Amino acid sequence: MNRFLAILEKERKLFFRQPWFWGGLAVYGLLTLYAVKLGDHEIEARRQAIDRLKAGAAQDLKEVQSKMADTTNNRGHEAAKLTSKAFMINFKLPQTTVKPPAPLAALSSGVSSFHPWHREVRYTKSYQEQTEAPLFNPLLLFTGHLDLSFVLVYLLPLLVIMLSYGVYSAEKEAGTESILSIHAQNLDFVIRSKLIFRFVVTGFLVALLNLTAFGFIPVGSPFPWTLLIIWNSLAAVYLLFWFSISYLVVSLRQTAQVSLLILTSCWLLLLIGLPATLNGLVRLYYPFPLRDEIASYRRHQGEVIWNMPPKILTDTFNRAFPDYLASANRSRDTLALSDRSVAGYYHLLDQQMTKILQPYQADVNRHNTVSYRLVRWLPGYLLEDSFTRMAENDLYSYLRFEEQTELFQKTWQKFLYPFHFNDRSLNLADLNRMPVFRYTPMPIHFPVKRISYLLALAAGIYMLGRAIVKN
Amino acid sequence: MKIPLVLIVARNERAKLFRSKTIRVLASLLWLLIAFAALTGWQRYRLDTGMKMRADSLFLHEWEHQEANPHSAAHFGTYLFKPVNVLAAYEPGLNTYLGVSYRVEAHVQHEPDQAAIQDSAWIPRFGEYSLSMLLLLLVPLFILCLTHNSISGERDGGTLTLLELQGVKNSEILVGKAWGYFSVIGPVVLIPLLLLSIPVWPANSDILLRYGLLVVGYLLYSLIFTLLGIFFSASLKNANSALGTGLFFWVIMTIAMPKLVAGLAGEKHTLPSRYEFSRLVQEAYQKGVENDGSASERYEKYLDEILSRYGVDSVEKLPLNFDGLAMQFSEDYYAKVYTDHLATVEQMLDDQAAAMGNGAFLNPFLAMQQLSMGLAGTDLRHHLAFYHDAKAYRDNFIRTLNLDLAHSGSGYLSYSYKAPPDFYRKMEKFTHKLPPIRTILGWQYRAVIALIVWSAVAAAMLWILSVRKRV
Repeated sequence: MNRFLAILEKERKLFFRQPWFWGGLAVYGLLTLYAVKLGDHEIEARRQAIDRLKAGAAQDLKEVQSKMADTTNNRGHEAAKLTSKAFMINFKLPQTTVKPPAPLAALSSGVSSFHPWHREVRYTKSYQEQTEAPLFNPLLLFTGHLDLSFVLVYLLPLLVIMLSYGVYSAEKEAGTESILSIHAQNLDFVIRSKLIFRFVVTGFLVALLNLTAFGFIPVGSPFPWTLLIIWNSLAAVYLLFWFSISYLVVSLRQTAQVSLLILTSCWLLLLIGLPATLNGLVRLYYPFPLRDEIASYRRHQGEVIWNMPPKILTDTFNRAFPDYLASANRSRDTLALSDRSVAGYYHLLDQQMTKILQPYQADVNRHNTVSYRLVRWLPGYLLEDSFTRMAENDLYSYLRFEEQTELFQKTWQKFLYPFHFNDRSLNLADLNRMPVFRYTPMPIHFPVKRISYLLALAAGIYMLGRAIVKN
Repeated sequence: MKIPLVLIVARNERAKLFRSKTIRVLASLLWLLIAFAALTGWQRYRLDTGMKMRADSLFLHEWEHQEANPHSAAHFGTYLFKPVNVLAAYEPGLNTYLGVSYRVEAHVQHEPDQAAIQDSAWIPRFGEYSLSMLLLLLVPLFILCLTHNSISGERDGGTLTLLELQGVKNSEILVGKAWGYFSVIGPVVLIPLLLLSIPVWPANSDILLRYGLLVVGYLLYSLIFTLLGIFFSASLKNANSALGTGLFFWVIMTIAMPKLVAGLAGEKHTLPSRYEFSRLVQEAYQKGVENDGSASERYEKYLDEILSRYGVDSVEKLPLNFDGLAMQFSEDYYAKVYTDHLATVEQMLDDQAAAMGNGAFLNPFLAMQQLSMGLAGTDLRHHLAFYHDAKAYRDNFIRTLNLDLAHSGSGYLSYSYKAPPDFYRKMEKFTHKLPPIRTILGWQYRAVIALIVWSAVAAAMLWILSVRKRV
């Protein structure tokens, strides 16, 4: 123990004299802080966009309320009557579902730039809506977001490499290597102690920066200590993994140059080469389908269903929505373009489109499942995926948002249809009862399996290093 | 004849490199990776081309075999697909992030849709595995590893002193070394690129010229890193420092700095949200711009104008179908306001791209990356060129249909008129040509100048070293 403490003390003194170490840690720290600032800026822009969206919706509601209330003259009365019809409310006040940014959204951008975070909902779906994906610059997205997740996954290992590649060669240069090599365990003990010191210093810096990041971004109240613990735990085991790789490479007792090259190759392979290659192969064998056949089917089905006799469309609607049978009027409902025949058209179209979309979605799911199965063993991917899930900026969070939007669309439909088919107009009180969408996020659990996997990996690599030293 | 000392140094260096196992291992590894990248790139290109050709012929067949009212046909619409450029097999650029299909339909201005990234759960932080990724990321790393002891190795081994004693000047050593190294590195990069030009030969001369310029660009890029590697080796105290500095430089240039520049560009020129963009367009259309009046006012004014032109007092008395004219009038106005707002967004995209372009002066990686995508036709400018062509085609397409309805002889609001398949077959087909080389070079002038400047700077740095007493 005394020997260990003596080595730590020596390292501490040396550390303060090494500009490279200070420089590396400082650069890492600055990049981290800037990454957090950038992420915060983006999320703040999204929050402001949400506020403007809500303000726009409130303004629209106010206009409709004012039109409905203005019955001072005949013209106003006619306009109020028209405005209060269900189809006009649907037209003038389409509901908007919003996926608000999660508390940690600023720390890991994930797929947030490609997927709609708001959807316009009407009581029917046409399946030919314009895109609601955010406006983005593909050049900037291709270059990539500089967020905390990127810094931890990609730059932290480089910092580890910088701090550890010369651990063995430093002893050689100091002339102590030959003395220590008499007992291999002595040299190994010294190297391990040095690495432990560097691990502790780096770990402390990373934890401090993570805490700063959580403090800087508006994570909401109360402070999410659980999320901070999870985030720090993941970062710590990842750091441990990379130090174990450094230990393994240093155990080979090569020159600093060779160690540096091997470590850099490991970094390249684990973080860039393997993920890019595996995903490239998955894209070849499980390509994303072009939705040309869906588009073609939709157009045809749209025409075929539209040209069906109104009686069939009306009967379809009545079977699907028996709640509105009481207000059915056979002679009126079987006319072309009657409310029920049009509603029946959209209902049938919805059913047909749901059927045709399933195999396409299955192809997409297959691609992503195979891709995940191949890359989930890579520590970098695992960490980034964990962070993105915590930030609710992974694909599955957005798919969850889509599912909740679909459910809300049914709720909106259920709210308006009684007015529509019972030929009732909405009044001001009804406008205050309109359903409001609230996004329900996925609960975040402590990633026991992932942390255990990374720990086991680190332990295995460390044991391999020890075995090499003993041999 | 006395052989110049520079040539002797270069020849010796070349011989040394050929004898060394390192260059053979690195070159073999690089060529293997390149072969694999090229294979997967071609597979991907064939897959994408096949899917798009199939989709294109599906929609063309459906369009040319219909007998329908022109306005129904306008709603039925069609789809356009962005042509796949053969060079995308080697440089996929931004293709993953860009929409590949464009919907043409009445009353709606769409954007290119179906970007592959929208279905993917994995975000490629450094692009897809491709030839360009290897040449941009890996080749500089190989070069810096190879050259790190070009001078420092001689210095450490004492042979540099011998050279100086034999009367070899600093400049002759440095130029000789640079020449020697590049005479090996150049062919290592050039040979696979020449071989990979074979599948490109069947393409047109413009594509071949683009490929030729790509080859020149990558050779210049390799030269820059060769000169920088030798500079680090000559100016730093030992091989270890040279390697460390080279790798640090590589990390900053290829990993950290691009993201920093992209972050700054995005922060300085923040794009509006999709909601804001759509709302602004809708409001501009509904309320009118520049005292044009609201949508209903404009309609009334237009109706009065047409009635007055034909000397009648009602639409039913017009010798043409006013519905067709009114719809086209509305399309023209919507296209105008949409294009105006789109131009604002595109200006912001331009500003962001300009910021990235300016970043190229500080980073040869950014310069070559942008030039590579530009020449391969997989950058944002090419995508926007397709979008503008598609949009112009769409506007003309809908105009043709509306005017056919207007002049069909059918009554106002009567949809009994059906245009025969021949009419639809004779409509203009969509064509999109790649912009000429001079346009590309105009778009990418910053990248071109940056690469030339970097070559000059790297050479100048070596020259400055050469006037010192000793390297």
